[in-house]
Amino acid sequence: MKDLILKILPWAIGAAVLLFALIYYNPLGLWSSSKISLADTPTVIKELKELGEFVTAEYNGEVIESLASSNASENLIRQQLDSMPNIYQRIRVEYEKIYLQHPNRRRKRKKQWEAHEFAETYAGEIQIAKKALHMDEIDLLDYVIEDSLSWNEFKTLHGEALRAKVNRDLTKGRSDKIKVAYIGRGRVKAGFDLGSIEESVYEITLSRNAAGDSMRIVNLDPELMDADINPWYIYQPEEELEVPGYELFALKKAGKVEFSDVAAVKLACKQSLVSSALNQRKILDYAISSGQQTFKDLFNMFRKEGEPELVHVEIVPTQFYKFKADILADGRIETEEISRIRSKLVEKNLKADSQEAKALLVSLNKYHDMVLDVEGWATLLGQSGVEE
Amino acid sequence: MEGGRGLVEDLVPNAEFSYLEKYMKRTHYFPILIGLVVFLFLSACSKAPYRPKVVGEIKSVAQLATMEAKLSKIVLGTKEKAYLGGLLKARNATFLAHSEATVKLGIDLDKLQASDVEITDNQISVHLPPIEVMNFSYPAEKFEPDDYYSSANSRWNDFSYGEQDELFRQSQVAILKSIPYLGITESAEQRTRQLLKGLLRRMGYEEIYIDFRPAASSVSSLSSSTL
Repeated sequence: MKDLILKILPWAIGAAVLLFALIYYNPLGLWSSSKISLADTPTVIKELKELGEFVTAEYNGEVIESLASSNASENLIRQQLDSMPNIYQRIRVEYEKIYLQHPNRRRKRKKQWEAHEFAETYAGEIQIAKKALHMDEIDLLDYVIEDSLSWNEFKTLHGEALRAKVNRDLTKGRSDKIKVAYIGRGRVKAGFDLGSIEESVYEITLSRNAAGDSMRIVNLDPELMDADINPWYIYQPEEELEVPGYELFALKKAGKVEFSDVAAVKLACKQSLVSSALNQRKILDYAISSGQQTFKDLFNMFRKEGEPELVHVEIVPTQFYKFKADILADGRIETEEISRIRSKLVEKNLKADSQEAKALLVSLNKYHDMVLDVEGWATLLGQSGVEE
Repeated sequence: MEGGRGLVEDLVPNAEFSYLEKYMKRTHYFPILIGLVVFLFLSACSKAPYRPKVVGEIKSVAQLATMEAKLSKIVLGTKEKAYLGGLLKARNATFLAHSEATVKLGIDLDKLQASDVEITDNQISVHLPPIEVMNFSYPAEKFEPDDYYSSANSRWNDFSYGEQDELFRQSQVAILKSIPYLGITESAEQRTRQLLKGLLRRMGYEEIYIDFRPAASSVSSLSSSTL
């Protein structure tokens, strides 16, 4: 019997190793095969906009980011905080409705909270709010109802504590267990916005000497035009060139990883790419030098017969071009960034309604759809006499 | 089984199995070896390094983007999964997400040659390069999965994050293929004409003629500079 086992055992181990290898590595889809297909849904135009963007510099780069990076953690916190204003407002409106019907219950609110018809009727809402706002029921009641604060007031008063609590809740017991890392390949482009020539503040002066013409363009700021990591970085199948933009590099405990985790890491890849283009590759300065050459070539191509050659083009940006790019780099203008703009004006000894301050705010206001603190932004514009 | 007699000898008595028995002893661990060799072979094959080259460089370009279109597309994917060469099939999984793309159309001024410009006194004719996709943006942060319709119908078949990425790649190609049929190329031509005419008038031209070279049709040639 012992001999029998001894002789069968190697075959059994060999077969087990073989079976494991076939299942784990699945060569030629022998063990399992899967087919993914995309339904033919229409592409719909939501909005058309006329532009006049003159792109003069392009950076191609590769980055790697994981959920453990500070950018990804910050993105997760932002996702949570961004979902809060709507929930905050909704729960407040619903709660006020109940109290309008039963005003005398306000005094007994804490004791009656659990039994209150609001809690019964809006049990689902409360659960969502509790989870999304990271508060227990009493806190929720205090902040939302008793203090009657608007979201921005609430955020100003309790923002830091809330952020810390969100951070704690997000990282508690998760960060050590799960792991998500992506390689991101993409492009960052910079150039000049010539579309709003009428609104712009730049000035062009031409001078002529024996060597030829010279052009000086003052107050024309280079801007980041695009920053993208797409699903495909290169897709040229006829040349057998197919390189993905995002490539999943590491994934641990996939079952516990949520879509928002993946989105946070992907966004962190993009932020890292932008940071690399701005700070290491100095894309804005490169856009200026490249723009000077391109403007010169273009104007010379269109110059009339007999006119002197344009031999020199100089682009002189405002003192704020790097500061503006820094404010806009993350694709959002928040309360803290509005404060940074105010501080910058103070630092440069500029009055809020001075020409330079106005020029800065007008150029930033092109991106008003990025503004999250609408009230704060409107106040700043109002102080400077800039129309929204 | 006395005296070290083997299994084969027990089953077939009185046979001359001494050579076979020795051979089997020598090859005692043969099956394990075969299994390990296959395992190592498959392991080596599956870890073949794939490192596409991305040049971390900054370069000079001359692109004029004149029209931007915000597009939306519902990404609806299905996944069929079969085991043991199709003998067992899991129920299909579905994945649904809302997505947004931004396309910028315009012209690549690097493709404009001196021979494309004809000037006579106050008259100028410019043959512009075709309208192309100057930038395509399909940001991951604008992908919103719909948990209600997305379903992993069994634990044997669901969309992994890698497979979701594959769906978004397919969706990117589908959007790019649809661009020539959205009618935005004509709008971009008009806007480009308008911008260029404004510039040329300021330079003193009174008669301005602008036309475009014919556009290529395939996805990669439509957007060779951005994909």
